[in-house]
Amino acid sequence: MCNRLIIVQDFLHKGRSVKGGLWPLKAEFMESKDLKAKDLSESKSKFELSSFGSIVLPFSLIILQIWLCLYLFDFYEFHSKAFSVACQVFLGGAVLSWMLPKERRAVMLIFSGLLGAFFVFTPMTAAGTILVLSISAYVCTTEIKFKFKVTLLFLLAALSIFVAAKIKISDAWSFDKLFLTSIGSVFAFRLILLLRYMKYSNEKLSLQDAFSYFLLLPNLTMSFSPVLDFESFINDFKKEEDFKVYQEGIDKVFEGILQLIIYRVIKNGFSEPLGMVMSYGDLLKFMLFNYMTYLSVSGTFHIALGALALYGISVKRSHNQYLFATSFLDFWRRINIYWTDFMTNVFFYPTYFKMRRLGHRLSLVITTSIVFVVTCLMHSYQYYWIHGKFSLQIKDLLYWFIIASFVVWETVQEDKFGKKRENYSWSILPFLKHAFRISIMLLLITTLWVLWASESVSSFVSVYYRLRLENFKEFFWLAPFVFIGLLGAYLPRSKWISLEKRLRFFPWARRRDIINSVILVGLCFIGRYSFEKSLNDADRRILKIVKRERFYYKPENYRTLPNLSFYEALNTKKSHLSSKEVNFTLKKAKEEDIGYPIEKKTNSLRVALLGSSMSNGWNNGDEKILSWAKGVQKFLNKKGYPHIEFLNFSVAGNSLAQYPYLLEQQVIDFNPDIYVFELGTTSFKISKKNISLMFNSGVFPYPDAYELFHVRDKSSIEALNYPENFPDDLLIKYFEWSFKRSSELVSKTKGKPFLLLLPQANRKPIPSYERQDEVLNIAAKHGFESIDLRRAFDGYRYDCCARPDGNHYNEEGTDLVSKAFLEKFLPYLDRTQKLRSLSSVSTGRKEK
Amino acid sequence: MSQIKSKVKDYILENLLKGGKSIEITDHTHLLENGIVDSISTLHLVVFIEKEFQVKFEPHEVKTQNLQDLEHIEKFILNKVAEK
Repeated sequence: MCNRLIIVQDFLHKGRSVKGGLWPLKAEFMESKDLKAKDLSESKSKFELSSFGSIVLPFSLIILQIWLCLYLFDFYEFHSKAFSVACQVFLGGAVLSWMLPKERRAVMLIFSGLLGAFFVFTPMTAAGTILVLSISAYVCTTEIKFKFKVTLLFLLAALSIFVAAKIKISDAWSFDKLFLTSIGSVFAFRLILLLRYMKYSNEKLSLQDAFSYFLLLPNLTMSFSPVLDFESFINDFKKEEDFKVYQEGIDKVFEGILQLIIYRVIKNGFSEPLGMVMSYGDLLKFMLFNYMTYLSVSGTFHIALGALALYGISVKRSHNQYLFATSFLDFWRRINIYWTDFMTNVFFYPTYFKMRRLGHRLSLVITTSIVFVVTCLMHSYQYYWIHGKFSLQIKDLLYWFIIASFVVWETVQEDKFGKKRENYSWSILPFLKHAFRISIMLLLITTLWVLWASESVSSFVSVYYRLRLENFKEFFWLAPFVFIGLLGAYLPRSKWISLEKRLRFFPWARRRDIINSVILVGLCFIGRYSFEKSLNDADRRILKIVKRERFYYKPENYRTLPNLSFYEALNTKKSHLSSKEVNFTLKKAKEEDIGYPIEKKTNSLRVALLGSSMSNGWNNGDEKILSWAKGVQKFLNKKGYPHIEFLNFSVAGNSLAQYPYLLEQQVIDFNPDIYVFELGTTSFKISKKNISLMFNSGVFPYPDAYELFHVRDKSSIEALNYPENFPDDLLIKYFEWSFKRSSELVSKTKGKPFLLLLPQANRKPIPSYERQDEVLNIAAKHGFESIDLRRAFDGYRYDCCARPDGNHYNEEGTDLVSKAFLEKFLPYLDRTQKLRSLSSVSTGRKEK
Repeated sequence: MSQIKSKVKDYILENLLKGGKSIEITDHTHLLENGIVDSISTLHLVVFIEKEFQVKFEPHEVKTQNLQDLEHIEKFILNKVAEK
């Protein structure tokens, strides 16, 4: 408090721009105490106004913007609650750090990281993260051989992965998936840079430096974070920073927030699954918006870097107007500059200089190629830390190969003929050439981005097969590409930037601070009162635009199957089971039961969905019944898939406990080609309850599964009597049996089984949810393909998609699940249909 | 401006910035962030420095921190010369 008073007093006596934060002012003020009273009184009037204008107001403006940003993080919850809370803690810590002398800032950085970890993660994850990072920092600073250090760190990473997977004290005391993400943010790339520094630097690494480098809070919560170089980080931290650094910091945070909001609007309102692309217009639209979803990454980078700058670390920009790239090489240099620098410093330069005896040009080609091979592998490595498995598909290889080929070619050209610098004259021809190059480049990059975003190369190619031209107006969607080209050519020629610098509303404030503050206030206001609503409207578009319905079956048939008293009984155990009045008569399906023909039409592709209330739709009596499957059905009708019949056999309360029986008794009769089995978020809990109820009411319909439960040990008896004591391992054994049985039944109709994993409606901890991967692997062993939608709500508020009960989806949730399902499922349908048509053509030929 | 800085600056202006718009290069102008040099022209710049000042870059020494501006380049060259 005393310090603050001195600083405030100092403001009134000093008229200078702030260097080194607020702290140096104190020291200078103390020195100036010897000034004579007369001098003070003379200088006071002279400095009072200017110091207030040059220090207090600019700082106040930054604090105002930070405060507004904190509110926006709270309201919009970008990416995840963890990320938003992390940003709030980190930004708040930055403001407090201004009160500290420069040498103590690193401590504040560490403190906000430690504190934030406990705000953001579960206690066990936070403790685990801090422990692993502390040990890593300690190992890095110990006086042992470099090779031992690397080995120890490698072992530590392996041990962390093992512990995260195996150690679980209880549901509340277990590592959540953010544990891998958080330590992955260090082990993935930052550790490489730190090790490189240690290997070549003569300076001794301090524990504080290593720890503060590891514990950058926003980065911990996001695997997509800038690869900040350790040397630059530590040098910048030690530098005497300027007030300008704080201003740049808040600018970056502001830009990041803006980008994340635009990303959210695009994702909610405009982006559609690749499976929905049917025409050239759809494709152009998809290309553009799919590429624009990269704003999520660039926005996050801006926020992470801006927050660091607010601690006085001068950070460079992470992206440089990548939409305006004019070549692949230019694109590589503009997008994710931190990555480019990482690759250049760690791989490109050292490799080139080791190989240059082979000749300059050849070394250049080989080195550039190596950079892209490593980039491709590193993306897979990063994927591991995010998703827990490596991912390197043909489409990834193809994507990187195409980009690498262009970059290598352009590198050689640039090396031969020198860099072509843009002629920024206002003559028509250079202007149009520049704009044209930007537009073409954007078309190429967005096309490649579609390949990268596709499920596979074949699903990417299948899009082009099904394209049709409804009318030439569809090419209107080329307009944004042309516009971006013209804008990219105009901006560097215009005087806009220098004008921005010159115009100032007030002498004491940057124009930018005023504009940012006004926009932030606007965003707070919009966010509070109408933004969310408008997004919901946009996101309901799929259902709204469906007016032209071409049904094979009517929507009202889309309902719970009748005469399923057995299943209903399970859901109303009080009235039925307590009195042992279970009606265990599941009628064989008839057409009139579900109002739908059992006979399949020639060439139709029948899909059966077996699920719970998550798929069937649910309400609590006074709400609309919402079902994501309904959205799927409507889309199929709208987009001209008349040959696909989507039959929903889902029943509220069903789970894997009932599927084999339902399959045998009803579904098989409809002879489906594809079977989708839902593994709902609460399927563990519901299955345990259902199996228990079946046993206790004497209606367990699977004699060959008896042996699983008739082991007369304490656990299985308890499991059957008390669902809450039902061990997960026993249930998983049952699941395995269920998959095996279902797979046998499905093979009778030559059908293909899929296991559908749905996203959690509200992301609250669900018992045993983390074991879904295990179930997925077991299903795969029995020939099930997976449709994994668990991440369909990523990037949305944690509660955006849930109904008040917390388990079921609201309208936004059902729409998102519909979209995500189509995105994953349509490529498979297309492939199947294509194979069929090929086979029918060949059969036709034979018949002729 | 020292002789080292002046020679490096002249090389950049004559060889790496030819045909482009005129850019004022001071001792602290960030060469990479301002697009004056890039990864490829850095290779040429390093070869020039090695020839002109008779110093040798180790592979790990070719990095942004050593080549970010004229000030850092001079510092690096002087260190190298002192090491000899």
